[in-house]
Amino acid sequence: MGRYENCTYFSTLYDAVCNSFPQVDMENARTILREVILAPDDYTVEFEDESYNKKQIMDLIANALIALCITGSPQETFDKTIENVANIIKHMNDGYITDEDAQERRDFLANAARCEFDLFAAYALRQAGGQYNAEKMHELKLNIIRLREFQDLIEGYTRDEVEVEVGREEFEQARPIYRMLKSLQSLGYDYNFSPRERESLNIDHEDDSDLDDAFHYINWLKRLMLLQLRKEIPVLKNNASDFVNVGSAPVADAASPDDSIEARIAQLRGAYDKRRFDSRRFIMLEQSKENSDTNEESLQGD
Amino acid sequence: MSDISNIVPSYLNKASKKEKEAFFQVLIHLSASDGHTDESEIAFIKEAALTHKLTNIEDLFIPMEEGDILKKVKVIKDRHLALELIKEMCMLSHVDNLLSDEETLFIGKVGIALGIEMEKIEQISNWVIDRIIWLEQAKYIFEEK
Repeated sequence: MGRYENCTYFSTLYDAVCNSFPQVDMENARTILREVILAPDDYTVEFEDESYNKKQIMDLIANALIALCITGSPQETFDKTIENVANIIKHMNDGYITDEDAQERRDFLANAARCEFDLFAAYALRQAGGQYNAEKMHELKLNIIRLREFQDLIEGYTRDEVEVEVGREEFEQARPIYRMLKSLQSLGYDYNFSPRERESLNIDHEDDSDLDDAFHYINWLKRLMLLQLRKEIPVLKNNASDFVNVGSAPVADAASPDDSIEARIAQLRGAYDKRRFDSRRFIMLEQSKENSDTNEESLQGD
Repeated sequence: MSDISNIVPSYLNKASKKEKEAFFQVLIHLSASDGHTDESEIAFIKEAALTHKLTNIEDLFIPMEEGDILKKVKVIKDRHLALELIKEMCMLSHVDNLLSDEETLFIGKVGIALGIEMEKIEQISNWVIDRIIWLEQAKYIFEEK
């Protein structure tokens, strides 16, 4: 489960159900979401004289989740996001962190984390629902990766502080990132950081295990739903006798132990992969150091 | 600390004093390459150096320029010893969670100085990391975590 297991943004799934079925109140939205995730595949729901199968409902919720994050065209959303990130990098490193600067940073990170969850949940729903347009899935995945990268950039290259001076060194470190973001913006929606840039900035999410084709999205959705239910129905912990059919196992153990170990090992592997020596990274770093040494020499020569 | 304490130094038994000195100086330089040296790492390196009858331990800890270390490490001519040094470097650099740019650069440069191919360094690094993952997996499988 990793990044989202605290269910902080789970309620946006209910919002997405309400947006998909405007006649539904929050209580019924809960029921629809729970059943569409946990019910067998042949499940259908009758609603307003219409019959929906599980995949149709999943698609509707996924589309509503995407609509919560991508307003206007994808290009417009991308432009706006990258502009915000560039501004935060600039404002947080231009000498002094004001209240407004820190607020701008906090707002962006909070919004990006929620959006990342929404898009990932949409991706999981589409994956779990079966075959979907490959191009659209790729686009969705790219947006999730970008949001993760942008959050890492801001967390890694700005301070989580307010009303403090920022030194020259941090400014110099942030300047090429700002320029890189601006040039990326000019390239347009289809472009992203190059593998080298991602690696040298330590923001690489291209190989995240939860975006791998082998990841079990339906299991992720089920686990998420169960964790949310545990939060919403704490009585299960104290009054298990009321839930005879659940058996003696607490809800948290309902997911298969093997699945849990598998997920944790996949997570572990993802974390450790970043510690491997990579000759391409070495060559790039060496070239970059040589270039900077040459620049210093030429500056001294001047 | 638990990682570098896995060093089995038997391959150093046949090494000359100069080879041993270069071996430990590389590890000392690597441990400080990210600007921070763990006390337990220093203690371990000192102990291992003492075991190998290096009496000038304090001298080994005198900071050296990277270029001087890269020259000095060339004294290691035995390929097996050179490969073992790369392995120890990969294990040591794993301790603080991320392979930093400085560590990547230094490992690559030592590899070049020793005549070790980049592919071989990757093989060794992958073997070290796979081994650590395997040990961590055991903690989950045997429910120790």
